[in-house]
Amino acid sequence: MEQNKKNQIIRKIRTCSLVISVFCLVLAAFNGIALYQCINGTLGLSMTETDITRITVGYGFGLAIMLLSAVLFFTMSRSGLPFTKKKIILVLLIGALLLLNALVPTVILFPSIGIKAVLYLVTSSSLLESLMFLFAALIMYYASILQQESDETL
Amino acid sequence: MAQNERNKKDVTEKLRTGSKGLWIAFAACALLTAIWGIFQLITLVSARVSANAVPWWTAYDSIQRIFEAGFLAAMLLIAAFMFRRISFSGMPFEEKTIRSVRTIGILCIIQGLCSHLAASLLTLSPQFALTDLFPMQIIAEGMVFLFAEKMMKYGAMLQIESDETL
Repeated sequence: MEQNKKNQIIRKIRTCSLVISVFCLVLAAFNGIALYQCINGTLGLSMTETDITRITVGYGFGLAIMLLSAVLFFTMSRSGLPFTKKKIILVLLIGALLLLNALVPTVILFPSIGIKAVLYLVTSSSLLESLMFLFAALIMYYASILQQESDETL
Repeated sequence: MAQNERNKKDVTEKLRTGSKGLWIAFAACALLTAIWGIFQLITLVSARVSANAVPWWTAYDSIQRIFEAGFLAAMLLIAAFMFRRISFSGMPFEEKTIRSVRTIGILCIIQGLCSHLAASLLTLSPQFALTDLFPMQIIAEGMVFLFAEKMMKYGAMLQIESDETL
């Protein structure tokens, strides 16, 4: 009975993660196009230098995060097992990239605009998201121990 | 087995400490977001009452921001209480925690679908596009939360197995 339920959930995880990986790829493509336009100078014509730097960095990290997420969900859809070491490392990497996404614009802009750059860091949603991902990696590590126990019992 | 048990205790302790910090951070952010949303609402209402006419695009942006702030504050508050529960029990795979994750996911999707629609309807504005009705980023975030709920259900089953074995 328990095994049946587990198999059902694994099947759902497989289907959902495949859908989300496609979503991530589409979002990665959007970020890539926007980054290309930023570098070319065709996006943000009416923006200040500071804002252009911020959105360029944002799209760059967005592209990397979305590609990593696509890889994470695609591997999950293949194996159906969410709590493996490889996936924990990927979640940690995504968390680290989100943290960098919050920190890098502040570090780059601090010499030119001073304390205002710190405001970008405090109001950045990336900071909270990165904390959540790093915490999720810890939860996944806990679950991987449970998974190992379950495999050993069987 | 003994090594596993020690590892589990270590991680549980880390989960408790981590979630304590997160609960405070998320509660503070929820409060700030709610204050900001109320400030936006008061600004919009007072501008309408005093000048009797606010350009539709200003009202559109304000209503959209108020909706987003409301939903965000609710989500942050739910997350804050979820972390509070984990900080007390040290167990991430409880029924209430799983329900909180699902609620956050549903709120994300509703926010994505509703904030532009509500702003358009309330201001009767001509500014409305299909991309507004289907903002992909926030909907993708909602989907990730709903997916996390499934993962946590699987984790809860492993937790039950582990408890029964011991």
